[in-house]
Amino acid sequence: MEEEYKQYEERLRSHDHLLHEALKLRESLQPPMPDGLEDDIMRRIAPKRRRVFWLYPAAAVAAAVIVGVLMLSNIFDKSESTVNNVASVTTVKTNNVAIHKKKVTAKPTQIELADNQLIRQTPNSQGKSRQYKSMAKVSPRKVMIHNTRQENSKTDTHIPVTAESPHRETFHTTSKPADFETMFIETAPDNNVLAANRDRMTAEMIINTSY
Amino acid sequence: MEAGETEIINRIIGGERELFRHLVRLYDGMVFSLAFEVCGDEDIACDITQEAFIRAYNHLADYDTKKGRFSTWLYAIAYNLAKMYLRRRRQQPLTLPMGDEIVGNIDDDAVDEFFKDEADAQEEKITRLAEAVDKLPPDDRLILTLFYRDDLSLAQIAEVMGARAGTIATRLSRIRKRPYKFMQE
Repeated sequence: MEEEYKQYEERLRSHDHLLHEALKLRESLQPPMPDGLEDDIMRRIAPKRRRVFWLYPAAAVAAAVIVGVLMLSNIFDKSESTVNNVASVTTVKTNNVAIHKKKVTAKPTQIELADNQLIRQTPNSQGKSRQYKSMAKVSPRKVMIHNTRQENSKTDTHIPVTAESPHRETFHTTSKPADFETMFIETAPDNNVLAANRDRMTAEMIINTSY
Repeated sequence: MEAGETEIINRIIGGERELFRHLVRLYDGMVFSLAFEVCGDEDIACDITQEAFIRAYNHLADYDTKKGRFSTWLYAIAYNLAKMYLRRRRQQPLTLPMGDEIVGNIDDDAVDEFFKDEADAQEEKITRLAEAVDKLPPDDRLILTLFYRDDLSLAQIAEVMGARAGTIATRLSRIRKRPYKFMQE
């Protein structure tokens, strides 16, 4: 069979002069192969450039600098008692007394007082988030922080709460959140103000746990 | 297959990548021509040529030197890429309106005699014949080109196109009749 094919091939090639010429003519009319094709191919089969390893230490240094700056800024923030990691706030009103609940994902850093109330910290079952429950009581003039595990943790100050202008006050305590069995904030009564403006008075209190 | 080419291929597989340039220089023209023959577009032919060489390089270890020439293997890659391109475009090429039932009645000897005509090979006749070849379907054009211009054997063309040598021989016989018929009209 192969021999037959060979004979057939030879016969066609020797006979088909015109066809051969026509194909040569077609070839001459074909567009030339573009320049640079060879280089393009060689470039495309070249191995991919390896990653520049000197970038890794540079990136590590940059990351360290960023972390350092963030840590420093955190320290300064703490000194100014503005750390705030409150995750969510819900407000429920019952019998004309506002109860504010706050969930804090980490340290208890901010508590909002409504109507000059006692605030109690109760760690939840997971121990990760903490809930602050406010209860109606006492005065807008005097505030004390109690920690039942630490005798000397009481702090007292005055919050000049008025109906018209809610006030923000910052307290400091050296207690870690884990040390709190119960932390509560107590204020002395001012019935005149409370009676008239119970729903409108809000004192925001920031407790900075600077341990 | 030349011994030198086998050695070059083995060295490329061994890591001497730059030697592949030698193979590119040897065959890029023919691969480009093949791709252009099938798809009829210069830019696409250029892309196919590049892709064919890159695939050949990436699968060079799969190439069996005992099975056939490197060029045939490379053309087969290029041909498949070009066919894939045509399938994607669903391109219907302009072809001579002559089915096998028409060319089947043409006498082989007359065709032989016509193409043998060396003395009367006027430029106009050759030009017209080239036009007729242009109107053939891409695969038919490719068979003629590979056979007459690139001197590939029927077996090699069969290998490129994934067919049997006998099929290519039969097809070649019919393909020759189409431009002949065109010239007679």
